[in-house]
Amino acid sequence: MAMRRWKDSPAQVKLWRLLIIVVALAGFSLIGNGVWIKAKAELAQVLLDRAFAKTVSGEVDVRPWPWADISPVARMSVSRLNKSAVILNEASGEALAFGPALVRGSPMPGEEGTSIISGHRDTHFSWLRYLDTGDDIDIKNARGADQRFRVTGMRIARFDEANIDINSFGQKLALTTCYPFDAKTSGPLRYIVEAELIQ
Amino acid sequence: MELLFPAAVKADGENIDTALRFVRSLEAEGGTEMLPALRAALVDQNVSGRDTIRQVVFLTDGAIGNEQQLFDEIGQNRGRSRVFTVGIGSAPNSFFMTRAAEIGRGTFTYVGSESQVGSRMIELFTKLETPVMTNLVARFDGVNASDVSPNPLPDLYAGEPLVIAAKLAAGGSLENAKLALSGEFAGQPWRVEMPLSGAATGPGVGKLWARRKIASLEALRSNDTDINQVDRTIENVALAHHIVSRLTSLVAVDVTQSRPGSKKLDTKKLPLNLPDGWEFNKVMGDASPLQKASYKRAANRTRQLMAPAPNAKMARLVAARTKSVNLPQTATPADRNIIAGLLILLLAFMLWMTQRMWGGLVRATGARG
Repeated sequence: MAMRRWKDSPAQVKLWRLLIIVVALAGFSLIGNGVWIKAKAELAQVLLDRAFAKTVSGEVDVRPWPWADISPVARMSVSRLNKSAVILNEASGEALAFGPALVRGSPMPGEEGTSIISGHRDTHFSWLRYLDTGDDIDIKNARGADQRFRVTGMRIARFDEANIDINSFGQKLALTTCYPFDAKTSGPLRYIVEAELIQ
Repeated sequence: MELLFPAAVKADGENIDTALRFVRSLEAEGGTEMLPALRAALVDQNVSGRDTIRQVVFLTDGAIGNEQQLFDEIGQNRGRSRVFTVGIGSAPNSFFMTRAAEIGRGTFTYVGSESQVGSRMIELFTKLETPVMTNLVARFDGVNASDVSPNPLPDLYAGEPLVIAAKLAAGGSLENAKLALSGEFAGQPWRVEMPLSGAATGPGVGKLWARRKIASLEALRSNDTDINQVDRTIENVALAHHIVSRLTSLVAVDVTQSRPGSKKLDTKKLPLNLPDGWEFNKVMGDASPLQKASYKRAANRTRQLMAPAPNAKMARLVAARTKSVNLPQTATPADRNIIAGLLILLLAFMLWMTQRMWGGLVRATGARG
């Protein structure tokens, strides 16, 4: 029997075991990577929270961790959802791994114009989908001043057709994240929550 | 320039007819040559005539460019003539008209619109026909007065005041000072004296004097050689009395900032407006390419503003035209990796199970065989 002879060979059995081990390792590493991304996002927020508290208390050149090249500029919280996030100064791919960040070129929250803050849909901004019109978003800036924004609406747009005017009149805020929320691949659509300064 | 009568003629029916026919045959061709007309009007055939007053009416609705030349002409050749200026509409500049009348010892009449021409001209002619007080001379006694203006004093017409501004020597007592005015009224000598001891002080008097002083200095610019010296004096007088002149301005600084804080200040040239009521095409002929472009821009802008209320299609168009910020990629591969990893682990488990089953099968058959 050909089958019996092939299976009987010890070399063949070894190769088969090696294959199983390689596949299993690949699986573990992918899971590990996914968990690492989430853990990094969580841990970074904890460190950033501390760094931001120091910034507010007046320390200069605060780094959340010694080799960090990002700095916190504001802290956002939504009391209804009991969620908060420390916002970073620039929305590069690197920075977004650690927290939501201000899109380059847009003003600071509370300044004239529309401030755009982007965050990952599956980590820091996973709760953006639960925000609703009328919700209050509190933002504390680096000088410790508190500002309250109120959500005026939500919409979905392509990343290059979002049509957010950063030089708009009034002090506005736009929170953006990827859409659809549960997609497993990245796409061109973005979910945009728009808010306006109320005090 | 055409001259109808070289000298004054009697206003009888025939002469008036001739004049009317002449005026009706005139055709305007754009520009107005004022200097030759003024020069011709100032030529006096009867220089020493003292029983009549020679009155020249300078009437225009055009803009005056060569002010200084016209001032010089009046100042040098006025002789015994009185020059009355009449400006119609918004084009003639009031400074020129007022100053020209002052040099010509006449008055300036401003006519705001065509509908006022009739009534204003009747007022002027009534004034011209009523007896006047001429050859007025003001003399200060008992005090040193300088910079007396207006100089020469104008003729006085019925119902008009005489306003004289003069600088009196500092420290001098006004106890015995007098202002003596003399002139001729209807051919008879006339004289009045006023004591200055009862004069009251007023805050505006200094400014009035300073304005007159500057006006007379400006007139000096034509004959005086040292223009810089004159300019310096004008500036000093204007600064001392806080008035606006050719060399000084009043500046109000609005400290509230109306532009956004992030915008920088910018300098750009703005087109000037024509006098009220003028039409660009009539003045300049056809619009220049620059003007046409600006009309076109304005029209385009209007069309944009006139866009209908937004509908889905328009909104897309607007969105496509507006340069907006691109939103960053905001999804991590974390979930995908975890799921893929789990699937691959499942595959490994299945492979392992397969091997176990095959191994068992092989061993079983081997034992039996």
